[in-house]
Amino acid sequence: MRQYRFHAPTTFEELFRILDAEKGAEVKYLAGGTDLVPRISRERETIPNGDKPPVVLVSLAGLGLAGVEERDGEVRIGAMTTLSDLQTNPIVKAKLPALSAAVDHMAGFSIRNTATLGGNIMNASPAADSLPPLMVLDATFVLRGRGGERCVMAADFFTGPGSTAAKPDEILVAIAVKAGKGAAAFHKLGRRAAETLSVVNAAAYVEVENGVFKTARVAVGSAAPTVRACRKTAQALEGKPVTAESARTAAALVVDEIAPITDIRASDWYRRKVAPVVAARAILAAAGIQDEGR
Amino acid sequence: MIRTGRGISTIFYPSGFNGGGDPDLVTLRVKVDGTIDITNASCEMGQGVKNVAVQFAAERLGVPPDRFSFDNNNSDNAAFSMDTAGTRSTVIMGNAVLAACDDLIAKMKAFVAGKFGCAVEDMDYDQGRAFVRAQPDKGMTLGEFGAASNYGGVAIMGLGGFLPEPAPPRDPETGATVPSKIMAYGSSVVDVEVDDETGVVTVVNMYNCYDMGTVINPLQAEAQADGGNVQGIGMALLEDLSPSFPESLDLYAADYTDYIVPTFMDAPRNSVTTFYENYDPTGPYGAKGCGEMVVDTQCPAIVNAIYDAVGVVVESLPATPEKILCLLEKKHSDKTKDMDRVSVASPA
Repeated sequence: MRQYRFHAPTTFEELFRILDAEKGAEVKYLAGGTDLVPRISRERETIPNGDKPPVVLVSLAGLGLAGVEERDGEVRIGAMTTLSDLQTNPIVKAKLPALSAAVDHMAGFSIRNTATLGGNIMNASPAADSLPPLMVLDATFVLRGRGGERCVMAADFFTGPGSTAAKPDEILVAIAVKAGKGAAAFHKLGRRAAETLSVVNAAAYVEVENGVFKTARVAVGSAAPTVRACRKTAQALEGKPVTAESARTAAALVVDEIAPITDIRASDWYRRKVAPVVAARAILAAAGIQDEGR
Repeated sequence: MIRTGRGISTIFYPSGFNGGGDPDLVTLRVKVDGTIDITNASCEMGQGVKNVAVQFAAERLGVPPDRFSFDNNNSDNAAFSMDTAGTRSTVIMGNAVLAACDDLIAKMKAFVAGKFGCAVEDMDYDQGRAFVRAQPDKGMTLGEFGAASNYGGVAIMGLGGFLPEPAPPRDPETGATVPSKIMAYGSSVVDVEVDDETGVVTVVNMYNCYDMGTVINPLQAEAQADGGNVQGIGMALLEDLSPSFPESLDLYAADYTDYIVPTFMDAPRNSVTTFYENYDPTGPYGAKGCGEMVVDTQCPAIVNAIYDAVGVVVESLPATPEKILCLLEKKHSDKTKDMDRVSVASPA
C-alpha cells in the first residue's frame, strides 16, 4: 500500500525543513481536510496505488493562521479561519457581507465548523462558493514561500480546476480585502435548498453614483474550469442607469465569458441558460434593486 | 418570475399482501412481576411498530402500556413476522397481538380457575385480573398470576397469529379478483412556486387527508405523513440516480454528494395533515395502517401543480429544474412556430 506520513509543523522554518526532507513525496497541505480527507479515503479504498510515491500530509493548524483583523481599511482573514468563524465574525459581517452570505450557503454545520477559507481557495474548485465574492471584492491572496511573502490577485490566481498560481512550496497564509465604497452580493443556484454544491453561483460588486453604475465587477462560478471574472459583463454595466433592465442586459453577456460542462448536477445547456439569471440576481441584489420577477 | 400553481392527487392503498400468505405470530410472556414481554420479529425502523403493538396489547388486556416490553432484538428468537413492508404491520401484526392477548386471557382464566377450584366458564377477566364471576374477590392480578405461574413451574404464554384470508379465485375471463380486503384512502393538495427563469420548484403548502381507519397513534401517524411529504418531495424533485438514463449511464450518483436527498430546507413551508377515521371491520380496532400510502400522493400532486403554474407536463421523475426549463423553452418555441404559421397563412 502507498505510504502516508503526517507532519504538524509549528513554524515555517520547520515546515520548509519537512519539505526538504520529504523530497520526492507527494506533499498535501492539510487545512480543514473536508475535501482532502474524503479524497484520500477514497483513494485508499478504491484505487490501486502501491507503486505511487508516499503522500505527506502537512497540517497547517500549528502555524497560527486563523483569525480576522482589520487594519487601515483592510480586512485580513487568516487562511485557517473556519467557515463557521467567518459566519459569526463581526468584522466580516459588517465589512464583507457578500462573503458572509456566501459562507452561509456553504455545506452544513459540521463541515463549516472544520472547513477553512484557505482550504476552499486552495482546493480551487470551479464551484467553490467563497471565490466569486472574493473575486468581485478584489481580494488579494497572501502566499508565503521560502523567500518571504508575495501577493496575487484573486482574479489572477486560478489556472484550472484544482490548480492555482501558488508554487508547491508556497502556503496561502491570508486573504486581504479592502472594503470598497460599493456593495457586493452573492447568489447561488444549487440542486436543493441547503447543503448543496453550486450548479451556478455568482457575485457582483457595484459602485453607484447619480443613479448610474460607476464601477462593476461580476464573477460567475461552476460554469467554467475556474471561477470566471466576467469583465465584459462588468463593462457593459458601467455607465448604465441602475435598473433591472441594465442588469439583465449586461448579465446576458455572461454566456460569452463562461465555458460550462455537463456533470451530474446539470448540463452545459442548463448552466448557459441560468448563469445570466444568477449573475443578474447578484447584480440586482448588490445594487439594491427589488427585482419585480422575484 | 415566480409562478404559483396548485395540484391535487388521490390514492387508495391496500394493507399487506392480502392475496393470502402473509402471516404474523406473536407471543406474550408474563414475567414474575406481572410485566409482559411481547415478541414479534417486525422491524422497528422508526415508524413506531413497537409502540403500536404495546398499545394494542394494553388496550386488549386493560393494563397500562408501561407493563409491556416489545422484544424484536433477535428476529430468529422472536415470534415470526413475514416481513415489515407493504403497509401491513399495524393490521397484520396488530391482529396477531389481539389474538395472543385473547389466548393469554383464556389461559390465565384456566390457571386461576384451577387455583380456586371452579370451571373456566365461570371465570371473568377485566383490567389485568382474572376472577370468579360470582365471587369477584376470588381472583388474581397479572402480577399474582406471573409470580404463581413462574414460581409454580407452570409455563404459560399467550400465543396468537393472523393470516389474512386468501383472495377469491380470479375470474377466468376478466382476471378480476379482490386483492385486498382493507383499503386506505388519501388525497393531497399542494401549492408550489416555480421560478420560470431557473426551473426551480419550491413546495409551499402541502395539505393531506388520509383515511387510514382508526388512527392508533396520532403522533406517529402525523410524523409518518411528514416523513412521507419529505420523501415524496425527494422523489418528485430531487432524487436522480442517473440523470441521462436511458440514453447514457455515464453520469451516475455514487454517493450522497451526487444523490440529492431533501433536507429540512426542502420540506414544505407549511404542511397540514388530517385524518378521516373510517373504521375498518377487519383491522385491529378499526385500523387500516399508514405505511407507504403517505409517500405516494406527492409526486402526482407536485407534477400537476407545476403544470398549473407554468403549463408544462413533466413526464419523468424527478422534475428537475433542468427538465422544466427545457420544457418551457420548447413550449415557447412551439408557440413562436405556431405564430409564424399563422402569419404565413394569413393573407397579406
